[in-house]
Amino acid sequence: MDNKRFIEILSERVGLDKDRTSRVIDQLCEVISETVTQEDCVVISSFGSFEPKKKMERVVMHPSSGKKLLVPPRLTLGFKPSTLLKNEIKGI
Amino acid sequence: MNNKITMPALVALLALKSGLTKEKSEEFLREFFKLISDTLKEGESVKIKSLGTFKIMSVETRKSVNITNGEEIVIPGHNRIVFVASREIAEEINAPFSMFDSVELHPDAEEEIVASLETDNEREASKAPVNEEEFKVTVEDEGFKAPAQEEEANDLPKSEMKPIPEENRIEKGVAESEETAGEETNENPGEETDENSGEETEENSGEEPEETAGAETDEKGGDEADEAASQKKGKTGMKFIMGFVSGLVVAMLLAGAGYYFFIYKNGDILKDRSEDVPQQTVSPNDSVNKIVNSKNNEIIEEKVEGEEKKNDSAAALITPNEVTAEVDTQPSDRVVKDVIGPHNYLTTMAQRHYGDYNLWAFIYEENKSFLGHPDRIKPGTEVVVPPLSKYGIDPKNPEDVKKAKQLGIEIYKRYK
Repeated sequence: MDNKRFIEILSERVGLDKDRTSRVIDQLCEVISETVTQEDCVVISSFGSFEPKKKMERVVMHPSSGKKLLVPPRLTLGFKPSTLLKNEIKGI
Repeated sequence: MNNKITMPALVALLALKSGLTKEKSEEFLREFFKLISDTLKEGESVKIKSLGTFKIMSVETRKSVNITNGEEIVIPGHNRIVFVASREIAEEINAPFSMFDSVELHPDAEEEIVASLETDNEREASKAPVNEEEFKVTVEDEGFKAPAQEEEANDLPKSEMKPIPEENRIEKGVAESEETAGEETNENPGEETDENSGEETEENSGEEPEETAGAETDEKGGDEADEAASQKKGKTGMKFIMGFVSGLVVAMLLAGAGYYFFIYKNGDILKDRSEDVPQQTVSPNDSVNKIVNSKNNEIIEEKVEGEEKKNDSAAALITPNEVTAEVDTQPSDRVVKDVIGPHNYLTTMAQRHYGDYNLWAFIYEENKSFLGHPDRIKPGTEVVVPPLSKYGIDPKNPEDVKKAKQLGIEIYKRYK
């Protein structure tokens, strides 16, 4: 399901127009991003949690040139599905 | 830090941000996540532009081992959710580390970095900037040290294994140190032969190199010269000559190696020596010839049969000195020639003449008028080995080595 369709369905369910829904989604994402940036987790029961993940620096081999590269450390947004959702998805 | 923001807190934050009432925003959030999970449950992936993509990935059936009792178990195939954050949100979250770029590593530095990575793995990612800088330093260190160590390691065995110095060697330090060594070892015997005669000269001249070697603080040199000296006292003249030759050559080379490293450390002394040397080198050679002649005469009286052999060995004795003399007259700036052979490639030449095989590209460039593909040069081809100063290259400068590598790649591109 792409972004457009998602907004369509959500706007119907919530009872807001599409523009507003789209804006609220963006704001929600800002909130999540701000929270995670402060190294906090966002936990939504029965859905899962968004949490920052640290990736350590590592040495990789460039596939075409064969050069060794040191990749710097980085923070990413990780998602961990709740057990309930995970088990439901498992069975599909 | 490490707080859990749950639904009520998130509702409050969203209400503040969007201007919706708390009830409305709670409803919105619940519907939002419900819609995502409903779609996922239908087996469809969900893409939310500003947040990211939720995908369903199928995991195949695989075998595993129960950790507690070691039994083999089969993990049945299943689906799992994969979340990929959108570019915007990923960049925002990675902001503290966004200034870092991937760094290219020196091949030699790899092991050290891997080792230090393992030890540093438990440190917090926030301390990583410091690590990063440390790594850069170690990379450079490695780059500088490794070639120098190789040189040291390579040079000693060479000088010991090949008693007759090669003409081709024009490394400034080595050539000059051999001159000085020759000068020291030869001068003393020359004086002795003028004053004394017979066996005394043999013993004295034999012992002199030993002493000079000792003076170079080369203990090994002293030992080997001892052996050489004891050989000299052997009964046959042949053994004596051979002992003398080997003793002289070994002492010369060891003293040369000693000097080379000494000069290597003190660049200033190098200049002084190089000025003094050429004037003195002529006389030592003469004196050695005198020794040889006087000895030869002596031995001829005893054994007429061995005459030819002695002459040969005498010739062998002279050749090293002649070679060094040749090297003397040859300033290191002059163009040197070398011949491609089955075991002598451009890279081996570059390693020998410049101390770094990467610099082969400059030898090629100098001779490109008649060389074809760099991998298909016929053995026997004579090439000119240019002085590095012609291209303004310093083998110890990693920048220049990089330039040489680049040039090598360009050369190969010409033949694609």
